[in-house]
Amino acid sequence: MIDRYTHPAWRVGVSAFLLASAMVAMAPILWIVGLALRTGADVYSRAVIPGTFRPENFSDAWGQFGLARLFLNSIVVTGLSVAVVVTLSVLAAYGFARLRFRGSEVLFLLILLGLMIPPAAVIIPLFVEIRTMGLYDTHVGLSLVYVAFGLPLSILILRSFFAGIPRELLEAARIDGASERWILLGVVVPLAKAPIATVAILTFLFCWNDYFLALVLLRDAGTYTLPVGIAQFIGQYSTPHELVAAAVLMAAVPVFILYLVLHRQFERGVAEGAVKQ
Amino acid sequence: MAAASPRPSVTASIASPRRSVTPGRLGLAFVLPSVIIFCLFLMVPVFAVAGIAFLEWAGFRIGDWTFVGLAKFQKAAADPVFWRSFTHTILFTVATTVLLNITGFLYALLIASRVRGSGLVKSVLFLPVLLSPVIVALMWTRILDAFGAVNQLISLVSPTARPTLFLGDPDLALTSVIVATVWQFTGYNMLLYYAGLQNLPRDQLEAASIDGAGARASIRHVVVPGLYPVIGTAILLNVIGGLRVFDLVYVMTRGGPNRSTEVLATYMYEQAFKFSDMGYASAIALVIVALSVGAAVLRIRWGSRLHE
Repeated sequence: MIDRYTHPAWRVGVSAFLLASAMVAMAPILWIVGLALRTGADVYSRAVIPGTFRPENFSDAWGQFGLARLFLNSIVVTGLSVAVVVTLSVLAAYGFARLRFRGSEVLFLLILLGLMIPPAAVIIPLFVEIRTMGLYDTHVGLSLVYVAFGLPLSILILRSFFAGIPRELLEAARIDGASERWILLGVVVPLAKAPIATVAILTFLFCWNDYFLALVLLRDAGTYTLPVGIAQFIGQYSTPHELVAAAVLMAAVPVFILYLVLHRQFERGVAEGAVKQ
Repeated sequence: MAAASPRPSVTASIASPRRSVTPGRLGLAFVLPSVIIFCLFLMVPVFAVAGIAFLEWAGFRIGDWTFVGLAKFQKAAADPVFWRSFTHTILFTVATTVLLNITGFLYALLIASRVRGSGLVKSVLFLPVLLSPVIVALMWTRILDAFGAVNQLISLVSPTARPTLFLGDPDLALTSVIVATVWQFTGYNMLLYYAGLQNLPRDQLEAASIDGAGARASIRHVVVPGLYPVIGTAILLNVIGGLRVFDLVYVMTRGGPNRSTEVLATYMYEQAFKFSDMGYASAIALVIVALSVGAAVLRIRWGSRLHE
């Protein structure tokens, strides 16, 4: 776009600057990889590049910190929340966009207010509420809260997509005798694969990465999700640094892999999620 | 269309008693589950937190409280730790917002010039955005500690230097947390600005170049004005994110040393779940809400002035 103004030498300079920036941006992660591969003694050396190689740190960390359990808990909570958010937000967005009723505009605006509510603002009543309902320290309770925080943006994204579907398409299906339920499942949902993917990705990132809500709403180490579980290591100063590094890297791996496979969807999803707010 | 809905036959819909359901009723039924969950876990708590701020309550039993009026707000006004948290929150928010918008805009512009390697750089800068702040905090805690990468580099230059404890030094801790935050979220702002640049009207840029405008002039007179909505969105999102910051601070420093990184969210957490002062914690939570709403109102005002 701005390339037409640019001199070849300038382009080389920009290229070099960008690659240097990428190296600086990657350096913390690469250093952590190095740390995760050091022996315990090498951690306290002053060498930036590790002089030792101990891949067993990964299996040690996996066992010592019970990462299998943390992963399982995170998968359960995130999977449940994403499934419920996608289902409910498709229904609600279609209702708001296509099956208007008296007061539906007001309800929609009410739900949009949810975009403005930070978790820290409501955590105290939420904690009391979840405990009163007997859902404290349960994955169901945490998921319900995730769903509540995930719905507003999801409904907003899907509603604007559904509102843009040509009326003729839906009318034709109706004339064919399809019920509203079938129109939604058979016509609308297949058309909406991209925005549904966006909603799923944004909800996944929110639940998978959340620390604050899980910290308050879970108590027992057996129910901890990944971020709460690994954050516990840092409190124990006796924890060997190389094992912390190995655990942190393993915790990051699922997101790395998903991003490698779905980088377009992730970038589009995050950008759309931001602009919609 | 017919291919998309092969199953439901005409006979089924004629025979179906559900025909009597009006679209509006069905719409209500579709919307209701979301509305119920939303009200139960977001709307009710918002009103409740405003109420709890007027109570002396440990949070153990509902009804087991006393009404204390504005006492919790007066307590905040007289509490130096509250004011330190408030100041740190504003400092953190302003610093991260300014830095992220400079780095994000710069990298978006450079990547949009499509030089060799820009796609790779875009992915590398964006990757940390997707990580949990807990992961980022644990990484940077190791990087900044006595045996971390930064001290290793310092010792390369001056081998006799004593290690700097970045997170243990009240003068350096908040800056360290800001650096980690900027490292994590530069890619976020870059992506926003990059998307904004893609949407700029091409003909305006071309008109500017025909008029003989240089790169600098067209950035100033075409690109930046065209990006005003994106700038507004990016700033608002950074400000809201900064005001509610918890994870990075809590995992890296627990608000210390000596409260030097205490922010509103960490102080609220301490009051609620360490000292069981739900009233005071709710008053602090309301301050976070008020600041966020204030930022959003400013954004809307600014946006509408631009459209005039």
